[in-house]
Amino acid sequence: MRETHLVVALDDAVRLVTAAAARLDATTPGIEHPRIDEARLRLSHARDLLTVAMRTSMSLIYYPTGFLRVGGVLFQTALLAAGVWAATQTVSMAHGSTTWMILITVATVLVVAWPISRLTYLVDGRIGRRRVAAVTSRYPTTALPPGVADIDRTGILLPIDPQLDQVRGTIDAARSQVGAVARLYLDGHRQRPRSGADLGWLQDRDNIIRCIGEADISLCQASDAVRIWTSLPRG
Amino acid sequence: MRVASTTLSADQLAAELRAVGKVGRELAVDLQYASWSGSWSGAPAADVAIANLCRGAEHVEAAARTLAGKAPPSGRRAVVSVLSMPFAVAAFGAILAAVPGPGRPAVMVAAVLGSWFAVDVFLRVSGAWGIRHRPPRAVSMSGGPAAIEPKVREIRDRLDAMLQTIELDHDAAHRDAADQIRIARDWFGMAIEPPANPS
Repeated sequence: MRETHLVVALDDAVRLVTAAAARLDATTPGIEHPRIDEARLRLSHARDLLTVAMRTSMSLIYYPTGFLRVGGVLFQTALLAAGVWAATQTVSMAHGSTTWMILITVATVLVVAWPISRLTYLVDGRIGRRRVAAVTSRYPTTALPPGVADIDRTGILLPIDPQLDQVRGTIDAARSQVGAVARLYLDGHRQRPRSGADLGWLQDRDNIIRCIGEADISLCQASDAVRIWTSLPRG
Repeated sequence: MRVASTTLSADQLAAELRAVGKVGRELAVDLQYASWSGSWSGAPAADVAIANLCRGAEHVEAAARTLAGKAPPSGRRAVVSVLSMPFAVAAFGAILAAVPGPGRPAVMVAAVLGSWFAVDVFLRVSGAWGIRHRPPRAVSMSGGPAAIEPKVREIRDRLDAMLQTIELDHDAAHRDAADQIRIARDWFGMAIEPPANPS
């Protein structure tokens, strides 16, 4: 059930990031500035990373470490065995020698390895998306904080800086939620970090906390890009 | 590690740049850990510092790529990935040698699956070994942006030293790298002292 709670909490974070991106788009139509472009890009990146973290936490094929679960082992070995069986049966029917059979076996493994790996990844993504959708549809969505959920269209006549402050406020709310998700995940982790160095070590070995950490960094960069843009002199 | 005042090769410069980028990212993760482990009231902390440390790291990593291409895999992972292929071949050969009359499809399938499992177990054992022999738990700085200031100043000193040694007239890659280093230096500076009117 820990995975379910994690997915629900991540979903809340994704909705906050989506709200921040929508608010930024509504506030800055037609503004083409490197820092505004950066903010848009970083928010989109953060949302993608959090979505990957959700799928990884619901995966039936991979552990967060990247190693295969039993389901992944069965899937990959079944495909590999089928490929090698088909190729060697063909050699056997043609009365090929043992040397030929070994060569064809090695060639088959080399040829099918990448497609099997790619297919495993695609199947994992599809299953992960379905399982995430099943979880998020089962749980009622948490209400977003006041002022975040809806973009106040009447506010379009307000000066842009207060509106961008609201964008940063929404990004802060998203970061708070990402921090809550990180704590939820790390509290139950066997390798629970005790320092920043520990956390960095764990991020190299755990795709969920790596995605959460990178999403947090992207949110920091989006917020800072907006801050820089609002502090620029405008004439 | 300080950069010597003598001229460095592109590979040496790239290695030094990657080391600087690593320190920048470690400082950012340290601030993240401080945010995640502390009681969080109000707005999350250190967003400016984290953002700019990582921007700086991105630019020094880009400079390293410009000079020496993609970073080679290093450490335990490189050793494990180099060893896994001969390990698979050895397991495949051992299974074929152990079975009388190996020229049958069923034996080939068994040999392939056997070597697949052998490599999988090898990778899992090496992963578990890496966890068991993890580095000693370093003390976190965890004191917020003020605590990282000396480290960031050290990073900037290292970048300054590199800018003095880099040969701008060597080729376009060196000039591009120098530009990236200057931009990285500015971002690292903004991690500890955001300017009033940045560009």
